[in-house]
Amino acid sequence: MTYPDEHLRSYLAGSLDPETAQQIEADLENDPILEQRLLALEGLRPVVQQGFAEIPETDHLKELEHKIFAQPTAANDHASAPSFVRTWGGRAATLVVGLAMGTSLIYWADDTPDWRQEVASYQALYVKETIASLDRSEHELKQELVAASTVVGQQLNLSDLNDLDGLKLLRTQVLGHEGAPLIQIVFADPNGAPVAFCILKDTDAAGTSMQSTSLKGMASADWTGNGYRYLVIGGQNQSRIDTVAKQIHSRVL
Amino acid sequence: MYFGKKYQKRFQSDLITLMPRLWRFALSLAGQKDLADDLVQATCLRALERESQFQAGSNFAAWTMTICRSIWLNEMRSQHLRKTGQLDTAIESNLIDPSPSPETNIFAAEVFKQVMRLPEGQRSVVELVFVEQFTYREAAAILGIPIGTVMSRLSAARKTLAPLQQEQASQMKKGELA
Repeated sequence: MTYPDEHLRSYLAGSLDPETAQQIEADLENDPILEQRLLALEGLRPVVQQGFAEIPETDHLKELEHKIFAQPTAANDHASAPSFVRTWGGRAATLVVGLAMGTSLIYWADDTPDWRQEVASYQALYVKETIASLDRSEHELKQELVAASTVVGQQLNLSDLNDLDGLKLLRTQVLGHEGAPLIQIVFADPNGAPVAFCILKDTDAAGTSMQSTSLKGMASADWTGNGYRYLVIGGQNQSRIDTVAKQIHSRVL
Repeated sequence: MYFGKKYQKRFQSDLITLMPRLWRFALSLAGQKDLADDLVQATCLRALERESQFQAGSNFAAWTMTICRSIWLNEMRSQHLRKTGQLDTAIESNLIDPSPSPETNIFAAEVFKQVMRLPEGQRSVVELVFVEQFTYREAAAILGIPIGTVMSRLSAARKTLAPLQQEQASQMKKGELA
């Protein structure tokens, strides 16, 4: 069953008639789209996130991390033992030196797909129609940015995301990549086509300068700094993506 | 499933990345900072022991938080109850450090206090859905309860917390909050 937004808002406010409310809860069991619609209307989400933005304190967490991981235990002995393995940001490529078929071989082996490839795969599913109905008010856009800032730990301001070479800000959502928060900020280009700016928290990431790449047939630019990985991606206009990436880089980082 | 040393190293790194979220969830269950510390420590060690059971590609945060919930319910909660005779009375309301914008901070502290005053069942659902951005379904799976229970707990929590939403809207109108 499809419910109008006003019914869902009334449900969240606790003012919907009990029968329809029960029907919504029953439908939720098997309707992920209904679930996403309800979650998008949860006005308390950004409010509550604000209350937890400074929780836990960084120093306290560092102490706890040291207490848990610095002392050797049967469980984590193996993890701290020296090995030939080198991780790139804990996630990316691993240099493996080995023998294969009797000959020396040096090669790179991915222990997970590059996060940019995963984002590109997701972004490739976006078409004009996906974002055509997104119509957030300025207040809602601000609230989403506050929520995302809290989760990722980096201040994101509406003013930094305006006037980006004709792009229109449409939505910010929190995703995740292997336990780390991943923020996706969606824009429409002047033709209504989707472009995304993504931020992945990765405290181990070494700083890198901006580079342009084609990912899954889309123009992209990415860079790393201050414990975050950044990616601007969408469409085929590499020149626009580079310009937007440079503007964001100068404002956000 | 993770195989080999490079994955074991990565597993620990993923746990460290997850710690802020895990700690907040532990606090929502335990209601006290020191108990949350113990719970996070026990969870991390248990997760390291069970590393081979983690299915690559599944939700690492949800998997770890399920372990956390299980340790709290099956081990630590009853110990705490035996020691204190109290099920859910501790309120951690002084964890927010007064910093940048006084208005923002006062409001944030108030929000935190109100959430921590919720009963444990509502608090943990609010934390998972509102703070950690899990879906209702994911929260239900982590807590091992039906989705209907998640919705009814959230409904009760929304009633208690609704004035905060109105206050935030009014402060944003006045330009007191960013």
